[in-house]
Amino acid sequence: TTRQLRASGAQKLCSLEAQRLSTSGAERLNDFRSLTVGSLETCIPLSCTRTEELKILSAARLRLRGGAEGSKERGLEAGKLETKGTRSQSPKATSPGAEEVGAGGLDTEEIGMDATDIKPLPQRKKRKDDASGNQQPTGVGTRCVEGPEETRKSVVEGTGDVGAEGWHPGLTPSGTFEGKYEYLDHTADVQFHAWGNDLKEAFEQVTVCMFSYITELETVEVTAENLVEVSGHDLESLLYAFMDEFLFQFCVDGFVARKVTIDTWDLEGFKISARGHGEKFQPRVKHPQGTEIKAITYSAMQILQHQPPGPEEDREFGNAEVYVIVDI
Amino acid sequence: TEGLRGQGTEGSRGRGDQGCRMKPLASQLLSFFFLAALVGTSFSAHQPLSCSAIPEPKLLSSSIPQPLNPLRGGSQDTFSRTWSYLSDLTSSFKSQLFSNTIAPQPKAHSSQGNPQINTKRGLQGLNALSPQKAGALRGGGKRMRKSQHSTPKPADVKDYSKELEGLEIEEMLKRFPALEWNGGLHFVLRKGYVDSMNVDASFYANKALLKLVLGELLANEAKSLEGSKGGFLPAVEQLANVATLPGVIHGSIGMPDIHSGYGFAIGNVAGVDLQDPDAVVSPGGVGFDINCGVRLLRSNLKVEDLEPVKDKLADQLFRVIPVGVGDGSVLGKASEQELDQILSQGMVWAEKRGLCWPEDRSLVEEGGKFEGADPGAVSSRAKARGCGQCGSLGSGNHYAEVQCVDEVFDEEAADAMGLKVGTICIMLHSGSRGLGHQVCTDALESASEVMEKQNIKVVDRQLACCKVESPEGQRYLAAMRAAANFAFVNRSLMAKAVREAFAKVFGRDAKDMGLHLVYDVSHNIAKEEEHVIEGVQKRVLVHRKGATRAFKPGHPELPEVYQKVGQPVLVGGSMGTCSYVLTGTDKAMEQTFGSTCHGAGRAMSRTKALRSLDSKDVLGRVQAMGCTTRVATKRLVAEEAPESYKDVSEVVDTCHEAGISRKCVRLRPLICIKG
Repeated sequence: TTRQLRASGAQKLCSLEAQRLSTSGAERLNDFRSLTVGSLETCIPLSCTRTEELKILSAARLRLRGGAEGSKERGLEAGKLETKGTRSQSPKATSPGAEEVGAGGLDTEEIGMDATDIKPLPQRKKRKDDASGNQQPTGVGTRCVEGPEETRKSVVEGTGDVGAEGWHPGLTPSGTFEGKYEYLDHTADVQFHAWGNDLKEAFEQVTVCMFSYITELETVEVTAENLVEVSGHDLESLLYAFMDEFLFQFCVDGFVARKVTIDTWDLEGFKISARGHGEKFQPRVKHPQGTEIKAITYSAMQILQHQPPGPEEDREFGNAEVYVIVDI
Repeated sequence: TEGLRGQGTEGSRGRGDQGCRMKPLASQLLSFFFLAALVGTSFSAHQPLSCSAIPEPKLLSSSIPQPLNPLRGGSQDTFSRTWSYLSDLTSSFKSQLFSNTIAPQPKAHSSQGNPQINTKRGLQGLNALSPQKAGALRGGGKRMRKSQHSTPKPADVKDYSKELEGLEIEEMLKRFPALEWNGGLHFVLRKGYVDSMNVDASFYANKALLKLVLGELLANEAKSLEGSKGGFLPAVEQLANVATLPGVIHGSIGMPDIHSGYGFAIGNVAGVDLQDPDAVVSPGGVGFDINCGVRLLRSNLKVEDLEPVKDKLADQLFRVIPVGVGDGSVLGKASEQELDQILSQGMVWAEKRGLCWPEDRSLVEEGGKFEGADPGAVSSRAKARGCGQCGSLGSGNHYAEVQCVDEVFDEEAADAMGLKVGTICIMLHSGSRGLGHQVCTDALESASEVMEKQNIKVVDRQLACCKVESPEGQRYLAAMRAAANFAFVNRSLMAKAVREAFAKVFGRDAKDMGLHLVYDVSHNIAKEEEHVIEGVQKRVLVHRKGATRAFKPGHPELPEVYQKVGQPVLVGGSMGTCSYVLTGTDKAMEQTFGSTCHGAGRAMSRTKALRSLDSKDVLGRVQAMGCTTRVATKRLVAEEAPESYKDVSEVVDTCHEAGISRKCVRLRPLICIKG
């Protein structure tokens, strides 16, 4: 049920948001509860626990604080590119890009969550820090809103900071890697290879692998969950449906899962129900854009389950492995 | 020897009291020959052993299709082909020695039982002997724990085509005797290479491109011999598999930029006879990105006009054209009714709304609207994916480029297109975004379900298809046309954004600058066309995956301006390389269903590019060429570097020499926008 809201605009956004999130029209409206934090509308799934709800609310409040300050001190002017901080403005202008292009009649308010997307911290503060040479204390506000420097800058100018060592999947700031996956050679597309202690873990890992190709998982905080329930008629179609559902939810809701937990795992009836833990994708503002995955394919798909290893033997890639090629 | 001995003991451990009983002398003899064999021949020389020290992994499922073996003519049975191949390479003496000295182990986990495993890893036993593998097995378990501490890179990729380095075509072909060469640019795999081929499979290539095509074959061969589980079907094999589809006529044709894809290779053209009731339509033959295509706008601006505002224009374009992963579109999210209208009417909708110029439509394939498109055939999932993406570039190899005409090869054709040396053009390469991908995904699922009902057998699971006349086939075609309309509108909206960006930066009206459309082609589509096959006019459904239509001069479907010169074919290069405009020819109509190449085609895998190329270097080089770049993803720069792609000039020259299209102009990039 939708509560009474202060701003009618926020209400419209919420219902649109809920519509957007639902795949079956009006039914899903009831799955969400909307809360207003200042002028910021947040939709919280009914199924989430109190702690998660608090987390979402606090994140929203922080964003609001950042946004309020931002708009005060910067004054959005699309079209100006003097400073590097402005770089992050233009992606904002992209999706409400209708302002510049001149909307051909489509309602520009029907943008959904984009209009309430977080705005990065104001430039002036950053410039002040640079000038004074002090490192801005990593307060809660800064960390939540401002992504790593390089993601905001991205490679727009062409001579931007690209990172000489190349791009590695899932690299934590300390340089360790926690995932059980890798990318294998394919001429035009990419093959994901994931493994685990059992098939369940392999399935989880290959999904995380897919998201690691879409963005850098280190920048993804675990603040929300999404639910995925799929079924298939054999193991391959089950894996296919599983990954496809996560991909679909990413395309439609923008949900990036940093971690996936399979709750029900039924190999007789080929059913899986799982939760993804992560947050909504905020391209160029918080999360670097990776490569878009067009679709999962059955091409050279392999699901391997090895015998449990003997006491002296160790598996190179765990007891279960999965190979999936995705179309790029 | 270490490995061998190690295998023996592990084997005995694994099997209890049944072990290898080898006398010391025999084992020394064995090790000597083993080393000799190592030095003398490649590993492929050894006979597969039925014993394996490690229990076979239980293969729950595998989609590795058969056949997976190098080109050999003659016997069709896969196992005998493998065997004949090996016996050709092996000296029988060595192989006998192996089989005699090592006691045969019980075949509890042998590969003989399951034919599927046999095909995929018929040489599995071999791996038990390889020292690398043995070493890996002994210490390999640490990999699991190690991965928690070290940085995994994309898996190491070897260059399998090294052995083809510096060879002439005849020498390269010695390795692959089943491939026939006409002495020029045409290579054929005759009917019978794969069981149940209805027609010959053939492709066009010159020496450099042939090396890449055969390199794919070698890589796959080597991988299957190593027992590596990762792998994919090489393009040439896919060409042959496509020729087995019911209803295929004339040939399964590969373009010079051919490389491995899903079911069909990318750069693969296949036509099915619509009079044949068994003719099938295959969603894999169209591709996931339905109506991925290129649109070219010309202008009367010159390079000198562009120079002072280059950066400003680049930034403006990057701002107004949504690129990269994630939602974003020029006009925002489309409502359901609007999306339905876009799907059914294509550019007619855009014209009604004033989003494109009226004259644009006549210069687009199919007039910007596919007849017979049904929005109802498009699933709600596809619509949900696509509604926020109409008017966006996407990621991967899609781009928006501002180019200048570098060289004109065909004056008359260039005049007809309005292209003069030194003028500015804009090229947009994009497709139907999430909607098209989902339509293809849904269609593949439904096709694989009905294949049994319709009694269609295919050699490759990925060639899922259904009869054209069946409701599922018609439904797919209707959905495909709807997705194609979506892509037309997508490119129209981006063209609109480009025109407005130019107007803003130059301060002049777009019409004043002459930003007219030259042409818009599609290179992932299936179209019903009339073709003359062996003297008979037939109605054919032509699948073009990674191939562009190239109709001859005088074809009735061409717009008035191009009647004399032939259809413009827009061939996009990759980042930092030139693009070309070609024209269609008579020869294309005879030989390739009126098709030609579509672009550079990939040469190097993305993982290899990530490992070997540094984004900064690549960008620096591209900048040095004079091309200002705006990229949303730094990783993409390495993946999409010019080195990862075949040389588009080679591809275009091959097409020109083969006569399937004629070079018209070459375009040099000045600004490149990528996702």
